[in-house]
Amino acid sequence: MKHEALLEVRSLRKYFPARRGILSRARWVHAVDGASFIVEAGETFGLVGESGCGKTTILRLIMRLIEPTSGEAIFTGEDIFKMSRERLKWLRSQISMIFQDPHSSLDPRMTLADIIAEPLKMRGLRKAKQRMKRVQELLERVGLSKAYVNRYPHEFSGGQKQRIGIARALAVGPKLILADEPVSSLDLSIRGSILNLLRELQGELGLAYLYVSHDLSTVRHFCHRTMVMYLGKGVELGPTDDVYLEPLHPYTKVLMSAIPVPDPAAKVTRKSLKGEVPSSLNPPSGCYFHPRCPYAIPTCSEKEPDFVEVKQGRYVACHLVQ
Amino acid sequence: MALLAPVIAPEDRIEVDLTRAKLPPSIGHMMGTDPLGRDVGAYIIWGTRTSLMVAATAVLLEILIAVGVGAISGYYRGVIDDVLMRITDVVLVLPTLVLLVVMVSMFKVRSLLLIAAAMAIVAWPWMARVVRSEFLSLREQSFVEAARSLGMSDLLIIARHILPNALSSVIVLATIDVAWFILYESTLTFLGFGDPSAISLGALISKGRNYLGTAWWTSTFPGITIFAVTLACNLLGDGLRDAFDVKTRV
Amino acid sequence: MGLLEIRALKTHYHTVEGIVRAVDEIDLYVERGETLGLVGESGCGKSTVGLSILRLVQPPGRIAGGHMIFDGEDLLLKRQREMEKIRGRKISMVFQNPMSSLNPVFTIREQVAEAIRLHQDISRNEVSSMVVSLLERAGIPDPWNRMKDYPHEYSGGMRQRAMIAMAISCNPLLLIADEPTTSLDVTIQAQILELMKNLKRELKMSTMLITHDLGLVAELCDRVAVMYAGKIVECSDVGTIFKRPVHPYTEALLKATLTTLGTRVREFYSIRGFVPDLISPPRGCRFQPRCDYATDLCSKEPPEVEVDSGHRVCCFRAAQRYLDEA
Repeated sequence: MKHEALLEVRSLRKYFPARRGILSRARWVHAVDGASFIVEAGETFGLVGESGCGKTTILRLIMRLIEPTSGEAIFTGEDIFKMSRERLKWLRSQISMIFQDPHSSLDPRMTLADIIAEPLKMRGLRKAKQRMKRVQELLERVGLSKAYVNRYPHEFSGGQKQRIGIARALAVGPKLILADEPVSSLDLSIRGSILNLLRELQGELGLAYLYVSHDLSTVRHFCHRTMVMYLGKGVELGPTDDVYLEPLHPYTKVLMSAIPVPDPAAKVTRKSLKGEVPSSLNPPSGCYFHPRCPYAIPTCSEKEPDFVEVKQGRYVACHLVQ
Repeated sequence: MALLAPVIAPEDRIEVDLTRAKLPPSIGHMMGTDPLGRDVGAYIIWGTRTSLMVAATAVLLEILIAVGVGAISGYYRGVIDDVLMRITDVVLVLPTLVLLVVMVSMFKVRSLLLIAAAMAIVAWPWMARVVRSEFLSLREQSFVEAARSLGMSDLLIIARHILPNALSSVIVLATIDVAWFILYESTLTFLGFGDPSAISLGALISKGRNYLGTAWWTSTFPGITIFAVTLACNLLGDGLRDAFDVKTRV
Repeated sequence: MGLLEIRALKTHYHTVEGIVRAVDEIDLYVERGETLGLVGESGCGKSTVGLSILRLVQPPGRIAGGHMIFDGEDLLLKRQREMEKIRGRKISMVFQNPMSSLNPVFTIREQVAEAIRLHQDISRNEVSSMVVSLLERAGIPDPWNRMKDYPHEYSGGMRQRAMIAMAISCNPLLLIADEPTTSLDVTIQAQILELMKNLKRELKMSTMLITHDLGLVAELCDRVAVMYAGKIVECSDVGTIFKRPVHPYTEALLKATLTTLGTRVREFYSIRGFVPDLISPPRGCRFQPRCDYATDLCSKEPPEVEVDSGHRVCCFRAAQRYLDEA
């Protein structure tokens, strides 16, 4: 059964200029440094990594809120970065976004109706009555009463605000939703309901999610396939079960063993990691992970490993594995 | 309801100022007459009206300039922000009264409109700074990012999302400035830079200057009025800010 | 006798909207040398407990009643001067966000030195070597040079290590750690976790770990107290809490916790309803509106039952089962 590739990202790079004095050389922050992956229609694809790995920047690039330094992002056959303004308008009805902080992602001065109708307005739905009808439909779809249309965001809890954000993202009928840590700011006891909602919507509407998070436990259960990122590069990619239970890349192994286990009887053998994440201003030579890697060999400091398919559907960037 | 009270009450006061001769109690000439036989009370009412209009004009001009500069500076940052902020700094550094006097005396024709414009020019930097700082923080909020991801243009985002949220600071500052402008206008008129034929509080105070010993009421009552109007403006500002704040709407 | 014994502690915040009963009559104790985990979600009052112990609660909050017996003396009866001698010396605290807890205009050396010299009479020369050894113990590499850096030159993990160094500088009897790793990356969190384990072994000090992360609790704590809406609902040793929880909220929290091991979850568990408003909490058991086992009884204040030695629960259902088994 062949899955249709909805979004294909190829060797995406984004370097930001680092502000320095007028006299010193231009330096670049390697926010995204060669990431490649495919998101299939109807699947949930996870992007995980620690701070500075570039996962949030990738989302911004795909939405074309910023321009890439190089690379492509092909959405249903067209390169997003080559799209004209007209085409971009269409793109915005195909891809939408959910944000991390429910409290700042909704304009506090707008009613729910305004917030959810805004994308509809942008798409040219002129009749106010039609818009209101759609708004009410959406509210109910996400589990909120349609009587809430004229209320303001501050009257709702974090979980409810996140539902409002989801309703807004659904308004235009997208095929892909970019989710930036949607449940990280929510209490443990209500995360489940939001994740269940997202899953239901995926089943009903055939949505694909690109799910970015630093919370490995959630991604484990929510995403079909996952890519682990380090310092702007993808280091491992594969079906979530495989990546988590049988990690191939040394960084993935360390990452998995670093998570505290909520079981006091479990024996914890942790692979310790030396030092700190290096600065993306001056990444190490060869494989970016080599200075901290417990298995590094001389080649690792000289040559950058390619991100290749080592098994069916499994990609790794590591000399030792290849 | 209680929150709207500060809005209603000061408005009443201003209404009273403008339309009816009812301020301090009396029969006939409540506040006496000035050396030329004009009823001080009536004079104050007209004068206040004039002063308020001048101040209001100045504030409107100020808001126009300040929001324009502050919004561009705060939203776009970079070089244009630096340039605009340096201009702001220059104007801020110069002493207000001196600057006002210099500007007004450059023109042969003395008019209140001139004073209003001059005051707006002198005062906008402060408000621009406030607007800029609101914009700086608001543009980082994720609802702005959300709007951008919908494909909204910068202009739309500024107009529909950022400005309304920055409004409350602008309003408070505007009402404080109205009070200041009334004071400045009175001062300028008092010093002789105003329009000699116009009726304003400052004019009255200045005319009564020489008679403080004998006809003290000529200067005193206008003075008290300035104080009262200033206070009313500040209260109005508080009330307006609360009324605009979505979170306190019932 | 325990190191710290809290009885009927009440801490309330007097806000415009009403009195927020953040901590509403709780009993807690910490033995010498043990690590107690105080677990709960945001808004349950656990951070307020930490602040209350050190009497750092700022107006409009105030401690409204109870006793806090530390090392034999009631902290609530002490004067400010006496509390100042205790803070940093006998009881220290580590906060969640190390960047805002460190003063950006002073070097790390100056700040750690200040922590030392506030309570100990040590000459300037000796202070430097003490700072170095403390930083070393906290795992900061190349301490002689790194102590001259400013906080912004340190990464998040190192700043937290510096905070820990400051907190242990006077060998306190009790360390209160309020969400010490929440703002850190996973691998850095693991490093701090290992550090805390080592310090626990070496220094034999008691720790109160305030957190919502059950993984941390499982690895670090000896005993656990679960807090909900200003009340302690269950308290026991760590093994029992995880394997044989009695209170419905504890059960629910455990069900809602995801791990990276095991098979994929079919449906995510969620507790219905909302965290109650601490200004007017539900009458009787505060968890009742969200509890799957609630009965009419639960609208009264639930009794505290000791279902096992050292295992206390505030729940009617638990009380009923205890009686049935007795």
